[in-house]
This record gives sequence, C-alpha cells and structure tokens, in this order.
Amino acid sequence: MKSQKVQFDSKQSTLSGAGVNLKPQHYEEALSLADSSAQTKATPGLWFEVHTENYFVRGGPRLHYLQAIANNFPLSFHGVGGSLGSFTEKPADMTTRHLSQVAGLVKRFNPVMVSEHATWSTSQHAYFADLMPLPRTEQALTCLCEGIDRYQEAIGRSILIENPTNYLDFVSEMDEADFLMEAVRRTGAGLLLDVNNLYLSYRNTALDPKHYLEALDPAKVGEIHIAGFDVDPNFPNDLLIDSHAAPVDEAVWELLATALTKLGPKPVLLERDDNVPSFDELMQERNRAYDLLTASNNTEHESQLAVAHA
Amino acid sequence: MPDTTFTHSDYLDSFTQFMKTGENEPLATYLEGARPIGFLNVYRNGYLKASVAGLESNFPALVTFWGEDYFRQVANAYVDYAPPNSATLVGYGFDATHDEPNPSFFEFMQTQLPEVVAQFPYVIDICRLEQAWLQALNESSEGVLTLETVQDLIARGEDLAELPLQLIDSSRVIELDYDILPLWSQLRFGEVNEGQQIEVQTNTVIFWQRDLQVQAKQLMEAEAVFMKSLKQNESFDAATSMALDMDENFDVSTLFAELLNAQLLKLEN
Ligand SMILES: [Fe+2]
Repeated sequence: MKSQKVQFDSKQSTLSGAGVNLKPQHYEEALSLADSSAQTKATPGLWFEVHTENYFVRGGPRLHYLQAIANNFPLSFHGVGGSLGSFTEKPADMTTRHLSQVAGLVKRFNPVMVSEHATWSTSQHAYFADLMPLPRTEQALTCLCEGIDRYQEAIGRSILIENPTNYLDFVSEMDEADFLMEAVRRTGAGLLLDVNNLYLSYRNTALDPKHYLEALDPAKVGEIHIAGFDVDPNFPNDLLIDSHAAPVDEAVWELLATALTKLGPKPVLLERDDNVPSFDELMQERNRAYDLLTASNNTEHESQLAVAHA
Repeated sequence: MPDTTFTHSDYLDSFTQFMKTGENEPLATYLEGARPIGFLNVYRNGYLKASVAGLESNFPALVTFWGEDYFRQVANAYVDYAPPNSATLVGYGFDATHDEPNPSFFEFMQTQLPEVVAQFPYVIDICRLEQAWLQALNESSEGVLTLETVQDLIARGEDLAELPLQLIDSSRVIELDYDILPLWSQLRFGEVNEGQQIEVQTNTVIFWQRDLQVQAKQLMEAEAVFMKSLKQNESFDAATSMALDMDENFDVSTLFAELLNAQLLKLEN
C-alpha cells in the first residue's frame, strides 16, 4: 500500500517566490499590493501564509479578508495544532474536530501549499500551544507517519512537514535529517525546511547544518522558512529561542544562502508572530529573501546552461 | 547505544505530565547529553505564554481594566486549571460547549478565585460582553433578509406574519446584572473616563454583525423579551405576544422595520 502513495516532488509545485506570514493588522496593506490600478508597482513573486487554526471561525472579517487574499495571491496554510507526532489509533474528539476544520478550510480556499510540524502538541484532552519534540526512535517515526497519513487523508492531498527547533538532546536512534527524510519517504509528504530552526538546533545542540543539508533530498523540499529568534536572558550563550519576535539574524541569512545553493531555488517565507513591525518593514525583509532567491535562480540557470554547453 | 526501550506513549505521558505540572524528573530518561533538564521549561513557558496571549485577545477589555500584570496572573492560573481543549485558541476561555467542556474563564474565577469575583462583581458582565462580541464578529453573516426580498414577498401576496422569521446567526442577546456596556465599550475601544459609575441594574444588550462589524444596542424591556424569545426559536407571533404581555404598547410593526433595516433578520432554513 505504502509504495503506492503519491510522492511529493518539488518540481511539480507551483509555489515560488518569497512570502510573508500574514497578520490581521496587515490585511489592507497586503491587498493594496494586489491593486493593479494603484501607482505602486506589483510585487513579483509575493505570496502569503497563514496559521490555519486562526481561521477556525464561521464567518466575519477574517474569512472575508482571507478570501480576498486568496483571490489575489498564492496562499499557503501552515498548521500549528495538528500534533502529527502524537497519533493514536482512537483519535481524541479534539483531533477529529481539528482535522475536519482543516479539511473544510482547505476545500474552501484551495491553498497552493499545506504544511504542519514534525512535532506534537495535543494529548488526549489538552492542547499545549507549543511545538513539542519527538525522540528520534523507530516508534516515534511510525507514530509521526501515521499522523501525517491521517492528516493527508483528511484533506485529500499531501503536505509538507517542518523540522523542529531543538533545545535539548532527546534520545535518538537516527539523525534528524534521516528521520524526516524517512517520514517523507513513507508518507509521500514533502519537507518544509525552517533554516532558523536549523540554525538554533545547531547553536543549542550542536547539530551540524552542513551535514544536515547534505542529507536532504532537494526534490523533497517544498518550502523554506526564515524567522528571528530570542536569546534566553538567563543562558545567553546556550539557549536561543525560536520566538518569531525579531528580524532575521545575519547568521540565518547566511544559512538561507547556503541552503538555496545546496537545494536549489525554493519558495521562502518570512515568519513573524510577535513584536510585529510595520508591513513595510516586513516587506523589506521579504524583499531581501526574494533577491537572494532570484540570485540563486540565476546561478542555477547558469550552471544548467554550462552543463548543456559542456 | 542509547536506551530506547521506552514506548512512545510512555514518552508522551511523561511530557504531558510535565506540561501540566512542571514536574520534569520523569523526562530525564529520555534525554541525552549534558544540557540542563531545566531547559525543558522553554516548552512549558511557550505553551503558557501562547495560551495567556490567546486569553488576552479573547478578553481585551478585561486586560485594560485589570492591567496586563494582574490579568496575566489570573490567566496563568486558569491555563494551569483548564488547559485548552481544542487545538486553536480562538474561543479559549468562553462558555463550555459539548465539544469544549472546559469551565469558562469566568467560572474558573467563581470557583477558584471567589475573592476576585467578590472584589469585582461586574467582571462576569465584562466576560459576557467580550464573548458575545467576538462570537458575533466570527459568525457567518449569510442569509440576511433584505428589504428587496420582503418587497418581493409582499408583491407575491405572502403574509409577512406567516414567515418563519428569526434573528441572524451572529446575533447575541446578553443579559447583564450591571449597567456596564458604556464602560466595556470604553475599555474595549477607547479612552476610559475617570470616575465611571457602575450601577447594579439588570439590562439586556444585543450584538450582531453587519458589514463585517459588530453593532450593539441596549434593549427596552419588551424588546428584550421579544429578542430572547426569537433567539430561543419561538415564532415571531409567540415572541410578539410575550412582548405584549410585558408592555401593552409594544409595537411589532415598528420593530420589524427596525430589525429589517438593521439587517438582523433571516428566514428560517
Ligand atoms: Fe517555521
């Protein structure tokens, strides 16, 4: 059965360019960029991502604006409460309801991309609103894959799963990149590589980013995230926290450039969830990502030409 | 080789326990390396912070009223007492439903922090308004009965009195113990006037969504009876006679025109 699953292939993906995760306070400004009659030049390659769970409402301005955004830009749904890594045979009512709400939104808005995290966040009766780690064991891998299968079945399409930020070393039987690649292989999902998470895992737990990037199959990587982090005031050298509350760090920009070189051009998304600055400020950061991406696109194109001429 | 003989559900159980209580020892067996086990607090702090932020966006007037520090203290205690039972924070802290049986934020205060409720007895009214406002905002506004439709129906010879009229889904009728709507609006949307008096006075307010915004209106007694009856799926006729029992001068045709104009009516489907 498993071998028959459709496998994610980034070459088939229609998403490209650079996006921003969209906050309600920026709906109007975002839409003004779509207005072709406006003096402002269109922004090429712009797309938006939203947290799926924020749209679990029956109507009102949120869904209205989301529809307007979806009518004008490519839209991606990024789930934060899917808890793929705590799959149980008999799902809690909470899980069943959650999946049916995600499925309803996917059906209504038909986003270009749907993603979730390779973590867990709900137990039988409680939702712990954070992304908790999985030990990289064969059992956890099986559980994660079943969680991905159930999610994909519910929405009728494949998803991307995102690498976590590591703060401690949990017991493991395999490297994180191998763990995620295996999950992707078994489920037909793709990978969302968060290079800020990767950088923090490197700083926090000495995970080797170069080795990590080499272990990834570029065809399976469908999207890249960048974001800012916070330094824990009590452990400034040892504990960096994935806060999405600051601009992207220079070291993360460098890692993004490396990732684009290794993996080829991929759609890049700027995440910002806290201390949210003006839309213009976010767009400046987003434009920097777009320029990097365009440069990597050209480099890849040139190297392909070079191969063709050789 | 690390010890990986544990089951994945053992791991999830220990972690769940930690998230609920902060007790981290049972997680030690799942860790490797030399990093302090106390770093696990990143997860618990992240969860508490996000859940409290969820409550802040659901009860914004209460945040202004109490100030952020005090609100957060109460909110943290609530999160520990009643972790979210839905994987979204939209609606966290509101009244229990079949799907989300948690005690509400206010019920928690009533049973666990009675001294807070004694000090601020009108906090329940603030919570009622917060919940109703947000629910009205996030409700579907489809199916509003328009003047054109009514004119069509009249032209076709339909008897308006026979129509299965109801209030639209986004309408919320809120019964209050205090005359608190003005203070709540100030807390929610603008400057608070110093020395605002809060009188004990039962009253009824209706919220509804129109053009993607929430409208508010304080109701007269008979109007309130009428709206509550409609909300409880009584027919227009039954609601009218209940209102007439309350006030013999109740004029349903004027009210009908007002409701139609306010886009508050729909036809039962
Ligand atoms: Fe991310």
